[in-house]
Amino acid sequence: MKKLIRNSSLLIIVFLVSCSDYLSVTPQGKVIPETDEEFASLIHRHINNIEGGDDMFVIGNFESIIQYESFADNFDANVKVGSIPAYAGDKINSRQYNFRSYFEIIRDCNIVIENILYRGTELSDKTCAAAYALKGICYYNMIREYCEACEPGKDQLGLPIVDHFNMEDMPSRESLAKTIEHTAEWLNRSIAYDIKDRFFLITADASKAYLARLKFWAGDWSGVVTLCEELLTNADYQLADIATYQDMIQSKNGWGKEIIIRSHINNNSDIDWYYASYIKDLKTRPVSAALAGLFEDDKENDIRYAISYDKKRQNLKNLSGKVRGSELVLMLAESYYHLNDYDNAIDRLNYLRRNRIKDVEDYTLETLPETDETSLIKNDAKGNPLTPLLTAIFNERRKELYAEGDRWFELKRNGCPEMWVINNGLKYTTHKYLYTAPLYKGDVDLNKNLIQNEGYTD
Amino acid sequence: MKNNILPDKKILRREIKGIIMIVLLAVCHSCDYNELPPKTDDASTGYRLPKGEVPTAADLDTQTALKKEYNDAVK
Repeated sequence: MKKLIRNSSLLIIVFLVSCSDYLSVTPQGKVIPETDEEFASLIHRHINNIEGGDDMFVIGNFESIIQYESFADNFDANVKVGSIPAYAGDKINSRQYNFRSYFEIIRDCNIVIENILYRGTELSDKTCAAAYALKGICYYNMIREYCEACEPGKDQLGLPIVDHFNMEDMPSRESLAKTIEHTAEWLNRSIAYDIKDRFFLITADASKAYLARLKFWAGDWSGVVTLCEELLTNADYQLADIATYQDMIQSKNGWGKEIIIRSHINNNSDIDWYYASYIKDLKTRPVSAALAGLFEDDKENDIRYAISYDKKRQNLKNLSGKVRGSELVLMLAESYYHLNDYDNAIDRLNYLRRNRIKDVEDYTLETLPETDETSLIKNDAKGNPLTPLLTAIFNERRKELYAEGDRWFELKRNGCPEMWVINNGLKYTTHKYLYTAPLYKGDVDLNKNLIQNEGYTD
Repeated sequence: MKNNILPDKKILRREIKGIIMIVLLAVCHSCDYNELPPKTDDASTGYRLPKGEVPTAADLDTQTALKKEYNDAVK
């Protein structure tokens, strides 16, 4: 009996303390989703960040906008660097860390899609639509940030295509063309659900707008025309006129005319101090003379001048990530231009100008202003020299999308021109390679299949 | 006659203490699987920031002109 008790006790001890942790793949302390609601919460977490103004990686927020504006030439660091990054080279390491943040969102999207795609309930369909949209938008943003600008006919590196959540995978980089193809496919899958409500914020129209942006970036001009013309048949996305423009742009949380999607729609008091601090930082660098010069002829009549910056050339514009009708019109103007349909190009340009400048005279092909030899952009996305019409389109785009994080990517798309700043006695140049951020170093070191972008040394 | 079914109390107490000691030892040293991949201590996590250059006289003149333009414009 003694032996029995002793042996039983020893057996119990062995069972209690034996190592079984390595057999378990369950993350400690975490819940594995099972119901539709639990999977939906994976997506809601990211949507809440967008709506609260916290998200930098999907629609973007004031922080991401200020970062990209600090890299570009709308604000002049040579007059005063101020409290924002001097140039793109200062933020190499935070840009490589952001690579992980994008894939954290993509991971959650993949988990949702893998597990509930075929459930067929209303909630699972909406969740999958949002997951495809988030994934597509993240990949679009990463294409612009971590890949070179598209050069037709050239073999270019894209991104690793990650469709399944698997920590053991070591994916390599697909070609840029394949990456764009996959991204378009995910956005199209989201669009196919035809989501009209904003339960997950991103509607089918918002996915279409991002698909249009992707095609614009890739130089698929016909694709851009089809999508943008379709979206602009919706009266809600047509241009805000002069009377309503200021409210639409300056509304901190509101959803005005022509907005297709935007971030920071909740008045989150946690973000308020953070927002105020960043806005103050942006005011420490003045708007550049080149941008100010674009308003010279129509200063008194251009509604955009009044809300862009003050007499000290300090920013006045509210900063929030958004996609709106004006961008669709500008994409249309440029796409028609590249398709050699100059009548439609100038028609779209004039449509924008009529809704921004009081008593404006429409441009004709004969009355367009000459190209500016001092302009930083010398060649267009196809590598051709600028013409008066394209210059006019670029100038309107610069005025319209000022302080919306667009200019940096316009410079990248149109030749990656070099520019420099003198800071603390030394000259720092934005070389071409700095337009393409480095992939996360930890992934590159661990995965021999992952090729790093050129120019970065450790 | 001694009862062989129930152990002597002293021996039982000793055995219980022994079991508790063994459990405590085992718990303190039980397998703790580290899920993180191996990491080398000397691996760098960042990239070198580009070095600045000494600006030329022409660069400094350009910067001066930009500052002057700004100061004149906001007077």
